[in-house]
Amino acid sequence: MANYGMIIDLKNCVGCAGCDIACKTENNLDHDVHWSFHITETTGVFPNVGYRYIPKLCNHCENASCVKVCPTQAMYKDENGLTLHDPDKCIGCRSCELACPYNCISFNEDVQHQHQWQMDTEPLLEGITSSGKEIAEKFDNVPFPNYNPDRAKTYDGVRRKGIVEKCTLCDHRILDGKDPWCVVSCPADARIFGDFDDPKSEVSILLAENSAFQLLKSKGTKPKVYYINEF
Amino acid sequence: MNDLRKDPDYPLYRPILESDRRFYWAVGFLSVIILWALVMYIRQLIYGLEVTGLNNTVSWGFYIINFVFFIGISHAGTLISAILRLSQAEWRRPITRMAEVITAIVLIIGGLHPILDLGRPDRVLNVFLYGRLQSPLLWDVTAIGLYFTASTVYLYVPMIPDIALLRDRTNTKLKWLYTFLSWGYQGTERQKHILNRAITILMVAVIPIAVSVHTVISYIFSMTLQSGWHSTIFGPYFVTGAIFSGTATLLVVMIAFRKLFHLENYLKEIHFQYMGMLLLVFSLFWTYFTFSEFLTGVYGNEPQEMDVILYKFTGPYAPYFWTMVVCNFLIPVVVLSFKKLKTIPGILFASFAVIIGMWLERLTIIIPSLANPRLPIISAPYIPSMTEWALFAGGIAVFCLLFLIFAKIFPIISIWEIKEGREEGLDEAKERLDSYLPDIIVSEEEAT
Repeated sequence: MANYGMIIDLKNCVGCAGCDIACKTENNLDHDVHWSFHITETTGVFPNVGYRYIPKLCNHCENASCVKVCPTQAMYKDENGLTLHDPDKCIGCRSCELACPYNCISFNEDVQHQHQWQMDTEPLLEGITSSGKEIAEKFDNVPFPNYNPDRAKTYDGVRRKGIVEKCTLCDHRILDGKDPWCVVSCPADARIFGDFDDPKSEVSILLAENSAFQLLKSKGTKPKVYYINEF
Repeated sequence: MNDLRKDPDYPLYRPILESDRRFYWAVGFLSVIILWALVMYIRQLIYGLEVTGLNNTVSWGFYIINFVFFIGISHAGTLISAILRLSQAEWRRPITRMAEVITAIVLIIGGLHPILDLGRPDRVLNVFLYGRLQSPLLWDVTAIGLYFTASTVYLYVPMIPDIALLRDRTNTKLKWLYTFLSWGYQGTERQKHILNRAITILMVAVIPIAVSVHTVISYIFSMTLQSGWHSTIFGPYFVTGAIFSGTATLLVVMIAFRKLFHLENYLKEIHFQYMGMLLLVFSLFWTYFTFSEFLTGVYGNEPQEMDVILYKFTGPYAPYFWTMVVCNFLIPVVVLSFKKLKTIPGILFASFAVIIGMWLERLTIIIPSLANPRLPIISAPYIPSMTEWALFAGGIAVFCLLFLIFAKIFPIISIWEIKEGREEGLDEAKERLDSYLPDIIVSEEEAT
């Protein structure tokens, strides 16, 4: 029993998108599917400009609108406060995608689990380089060259098509008492994972000490990803 | 057979008894379109929703637009027929059957549309196995299921006397079907009484069901937190729009069958004048709702709401939005307000405009909200693919085909109700009118 969430320290974040890549490799994500992503905002006119870079992942909201609209109870809140998804019940109606105010849910519509470049038949330089397709064939068309077997502990290693999928806060790693992979792989320690129910956890202390904000707080979804130290 | 030809209502039997080459041509042509749609759908089953233009931000597209559109059209029928029967409008008699058929057919087509949109249509029964009461989609399945049951029964029950007539008076290959479906109806006093009771109960029950269906459909949208959707007005707005598009479809169907089956004697100018009046009223209702909806949004001026509104007013969806306003407001109001323009071709034009306009309304409700996510995410534009167009064409073709087949098997205008109108309606109407008017009191002096 816990109430897992995350704090993102924007002072530390360097905007490298390393978390996005880490998530892709850890969870064997298809192209066009993003569990961890970022939003950017540029404001002003040169030379007075502002730039925001905000990493974004599923907020595992306490009042999750995706859970409410799901007609088959495929989307559910587990006992650790995570918003998880049952791939056996999902009918792929995509209601959760519209209900989520953060656009954090992706639909897995890809057929061959192949990246665009793997299907590319034109070589970059005629007669000099091989085409993407040729390279892929050399490697026996493995869908994920860097396939991570750990992912298969709680979900299909490569997820099924025709249904939605989303960030699970690396529930397979949480089972072993490890932090999510995006947290571990962040080069700047910007992501801090922990249990908000435990008053002594790092996230609880950071939340108490800092003035934090949440994305679209006014929507009343009670997101559990907090952002601190924006400058 | 020969005495049937002398029947004044023979034109109503004619399409059933006489074969027409054009009928088979139409069936063939429509079948080709349906086959094309079927092939495209099988292709979608094999390759997944990748063959559509949907993406992760615009995750609902043509299928849901058409779903809302078709279910909207289904409102014409049952609701209008029930209201006309309930108010004892005598001019309803040649119209009710067609209206009810529209509902039954379009509900089948509309009801199947969400399944086209599913990533895993094979699991559709999970909605019943693991249904979540809080989900608007489950409400939808329930409401549409109930509506379909109610409106099919409501179509079938008033048809029983006609089926019995066909059983007794015709001798076609389908006699066994008429015998089976007429349930031994002989037209005795008791049977007539039970039939009229059943129709009365059904027409009262069907009205709240019909209203609830489109309200619930609007809830799929208004229950989410999307800007442009999260609005209290959506329930009645959708119901109004539904009746509006349904009336227009009914008018088109009436004009088409009038021409095809030579029913000028049954569907007279006056029927179109009255139905046109209904269309005009709903056009004004729709305009009023649209105005209220957008005025609230613009006045509030919330940035996210304004993103969606400007996307419709001046952005990429402006052509569709303003065409919708012209089709749903300008054309019907102008055509139907002036006596000179309110001819049958004029009404046909206005009806087509309304059907197109209402489809565009569904489009401009669904896509712009999805294309403007609340967080600054760049969304890929939604361009419907050939598959989606094919299935749209297929849906319309199925509608026409089922309608033609229905008209080939059953009379498209209720024969017994026309007869009843001739035999009893006149006296009844006179009696009713007499009861409205002040009684003439003759004083004793004058009497003597």
